Amino acid sequence: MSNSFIKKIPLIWKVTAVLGVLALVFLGLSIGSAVYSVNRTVEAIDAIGEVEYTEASKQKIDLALSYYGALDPNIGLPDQITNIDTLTAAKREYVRLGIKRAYVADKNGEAADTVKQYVTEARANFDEYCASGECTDISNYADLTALEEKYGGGTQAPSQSTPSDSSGGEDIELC
Amino acid sequence: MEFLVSTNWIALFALAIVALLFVLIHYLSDRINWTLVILLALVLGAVVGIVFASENNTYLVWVELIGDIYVNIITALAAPVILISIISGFVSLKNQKAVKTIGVRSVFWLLLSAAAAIVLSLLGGLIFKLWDASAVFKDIAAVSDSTVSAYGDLKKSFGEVLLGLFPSNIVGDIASNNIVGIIIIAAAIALAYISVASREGEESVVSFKKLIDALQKIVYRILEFVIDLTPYAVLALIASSAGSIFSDGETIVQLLILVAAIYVISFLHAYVFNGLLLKFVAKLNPIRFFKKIFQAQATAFTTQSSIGTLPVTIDSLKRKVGVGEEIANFTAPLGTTIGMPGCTCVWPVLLVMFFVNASGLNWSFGDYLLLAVITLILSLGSAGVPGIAVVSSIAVFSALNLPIAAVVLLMPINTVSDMARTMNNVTAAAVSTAIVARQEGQLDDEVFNKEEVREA
Repeated sequence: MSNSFIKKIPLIWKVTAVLGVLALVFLGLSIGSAVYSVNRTVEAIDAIGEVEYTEASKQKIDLALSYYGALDPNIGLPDQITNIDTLTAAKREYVRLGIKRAYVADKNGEAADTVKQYVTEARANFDEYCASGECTDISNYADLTALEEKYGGGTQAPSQSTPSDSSGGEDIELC
Repeated sequence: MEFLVSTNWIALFALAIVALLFVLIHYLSDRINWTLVILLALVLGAVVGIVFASENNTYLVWVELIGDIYVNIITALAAPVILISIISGFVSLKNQKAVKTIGVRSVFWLLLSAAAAIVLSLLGGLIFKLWDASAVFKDIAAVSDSTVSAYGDLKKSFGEVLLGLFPSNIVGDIASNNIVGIIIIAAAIALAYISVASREGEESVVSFKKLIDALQKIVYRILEFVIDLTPYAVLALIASSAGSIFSDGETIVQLLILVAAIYVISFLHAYVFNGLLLKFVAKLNPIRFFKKIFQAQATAFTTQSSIGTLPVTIDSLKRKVGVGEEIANFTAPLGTTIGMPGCTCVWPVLLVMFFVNASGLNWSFGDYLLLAVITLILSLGSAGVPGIAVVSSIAVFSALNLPIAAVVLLMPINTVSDMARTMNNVTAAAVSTAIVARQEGQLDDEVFNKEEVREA
């Protein structure tokens, strides 16, 4: 295309062409952004792997959660996450392990302050991961409320509809 | 790849689409009727709003910004336009008695319009029977005290309303767009000019007149630039309004009948009542009149600000309807404070009736009469800015000892109904202005009967 040909095109058509191209680019980037944000969330959830009561494991869960939270609900992106159950299960498991640690510390007769700290931490985990009510079946939730009563955690325990079996019946091993 | 998720690409896509539509409007604006251009902008804006409807209007954040910039600019022009125009208009009248007559007639027609809106709203409310909406108010006790208290602070007593009309600080009144205050300041300057000119001869104040004339030319030139942007602003504003309305569709559906009642009554008042006034009092063809002020109506509908629309209203009245300069510059601004049938009459009356019916309160004729009187008194002084209807309804609710929390619960439909209400306010002010102009012999029928030409 020669320069003279471009010069002959009226300005309004040039502007239209530029804006049209921009619109297409932005549309492409919008689609790319949606696909990328879904993929990275799915990958982040897969990367959680086996849940342990460690900072690294928590970071993986938190990363997946932050990616999931950033998904645009207006175009139904959260519904595209095929492994969302894995994330929910991971949150539940992390909460359960936190309670278990407090329970074991109590059973092992560790210092009251330490146990109290574990109990507070377990409650914080529950509030952080289960506040939206999606993990109602934490198997050892009753242990947490019992420990809070014992150590005066001071946190008001929300109701747990699913009957819980005490950790006393579980294998006691710290993660 | 992080750049992909760190930018709101859909918002930029929406912006690019709107920019393309701006090009289309620009292209058509030289080829088709100006009214059609604005109508097209309205339709295109609504389509964009529906397509990009999203929570918190996230997709239309940039488009919304364009509309907000326009509203800011045109609102900024309101005070200088009114001040300069009124001084200029009255200075050319050279007659103190004429100023008084125009003032009295303007207030009369504006208040009559407000009274008619109240009666229409009461009748409309009874005809619509305003449904059983008790479900809407079931959470009334859950509205927090702090929210109720914050809204309660907005209410004003009649004394405060009256006091607020008068200027307390010339610069402050101009800065805060206190329209009646500005009108009083301008009228005082003009009357003083006339007085000095008649006592000491016009030569002693001629330099002031020249300055005002020059300022008027400059302000109106700026106004022309801004008015040319109206179709683009209409598109952007209607898109963001439609976007937020459609993203909150559930609440709107719940209160659909109230929204419908507000629209029906506002349009009845705007077109039927005002149409009759135009036909029989102003002796003007109503359809032609409404066509000529359509740009102002569309601006009011989209900006939801009577004051913001004022420069467009005055311009339409002068150039298209043929209203004399001094009356267009005086009565139309006054209509953004006195009267305001949509915001200070239709909305509070319907809200009260909606609440009374929903709560099963047994109101007598006397109660409705009291409602009408209180509403009319409050319509004497309200600023024509977005949100004034909320202040009015809170004042009416508290004057009638009804819970302010009820107004809070009806807030979700405020925006969608404000569009029709503001359009009604502006139409009523324009019609009152035309009537006063006719009565004062300052309506140019030749200009009115002239077919519309593309002016931009």
